[in-house]
Amino acid sequence: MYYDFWVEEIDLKLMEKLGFQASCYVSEFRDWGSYSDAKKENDLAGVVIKAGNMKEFRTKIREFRNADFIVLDSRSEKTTEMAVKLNAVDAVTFHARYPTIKKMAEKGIAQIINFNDLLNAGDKAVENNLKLMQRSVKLARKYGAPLMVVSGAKEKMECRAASDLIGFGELLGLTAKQAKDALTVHQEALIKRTKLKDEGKWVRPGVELEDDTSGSFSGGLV
Amino acid sequence: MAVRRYRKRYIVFKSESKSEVEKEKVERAVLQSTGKLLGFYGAGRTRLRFLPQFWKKNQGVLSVDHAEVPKIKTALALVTNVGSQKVILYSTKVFGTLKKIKKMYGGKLNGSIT
Repeated sequence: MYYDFWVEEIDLKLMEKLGFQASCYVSEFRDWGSYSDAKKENDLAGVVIKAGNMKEFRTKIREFRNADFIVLDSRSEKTTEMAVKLNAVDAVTFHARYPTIKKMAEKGIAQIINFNDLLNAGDKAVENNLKLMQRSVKLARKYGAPLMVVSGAKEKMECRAASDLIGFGELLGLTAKQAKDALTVHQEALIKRTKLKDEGKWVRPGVELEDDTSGSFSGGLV
Repeated sequence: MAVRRYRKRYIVFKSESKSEVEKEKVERAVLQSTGKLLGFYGAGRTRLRFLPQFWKKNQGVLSVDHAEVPKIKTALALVTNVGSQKVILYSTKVFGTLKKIKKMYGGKLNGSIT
């Protein structure tokens, strides 16, 4: 079961053909209302937060903190570092270096490897992007940070098959198993969290409500 | 001097587009994309060959070195246009022998399947 967690135009039939179980509609929304409309149409909806500085990030994250999947798309290392520190996002696109990626591993924030950065880049940018991606993969493997390989498709024809994204992961230096995990593990955790949120059982990271099966209160001080 | 035979893999791929695409154009697009991603030297190492006799209904077969399969899959994914048409090229399965591919296509072992 593979998941593509960054698609801006979803065609369910095509996604099934390409070998995906589910996909997440991700876009940069202006307000919570437009996000809610997108959420009604799709099982999962994510938000891309584009922020150049911390002030901009704070104002945007306040509105979308209850979204299913939050991605920080920032070119600023400082903003990424602070967002990771605050544990306010699920994934980052900035190719983080040592101290940040270690914190990402501790907090379970994923490093995104976006195939679209390669597909729509110029000749020189492709080389640079490949270099950064390879460095990110190397560091994520070293410190155990979660990785997400996504197609980042802006239109239907930019979607790519699961097997090709696995091959892309292997090209960047992952083993076959790690490349497959990059399309499943973190995504499944996010789907599980969304289900709990919808049922009203999710409180905050690490705190979930469980059904009381015994019928009596068993906690508290004795 | 004895030269060791290299191990081949056969990648079956499909193209997704509005109308059918020509096999010559697909071949050119795949070779160009591989050259762009890997360079002359890297592309040469992959021992990439397009097998035209297997082209059928927007589905084709590539022969590559066994260690270079992920690179060719990525190169396939990097193809956006064949001629002037927008396409998605994606791999469906990797085989070790042509015999199995012919079985899958339903053709005879020694005959052409097209």
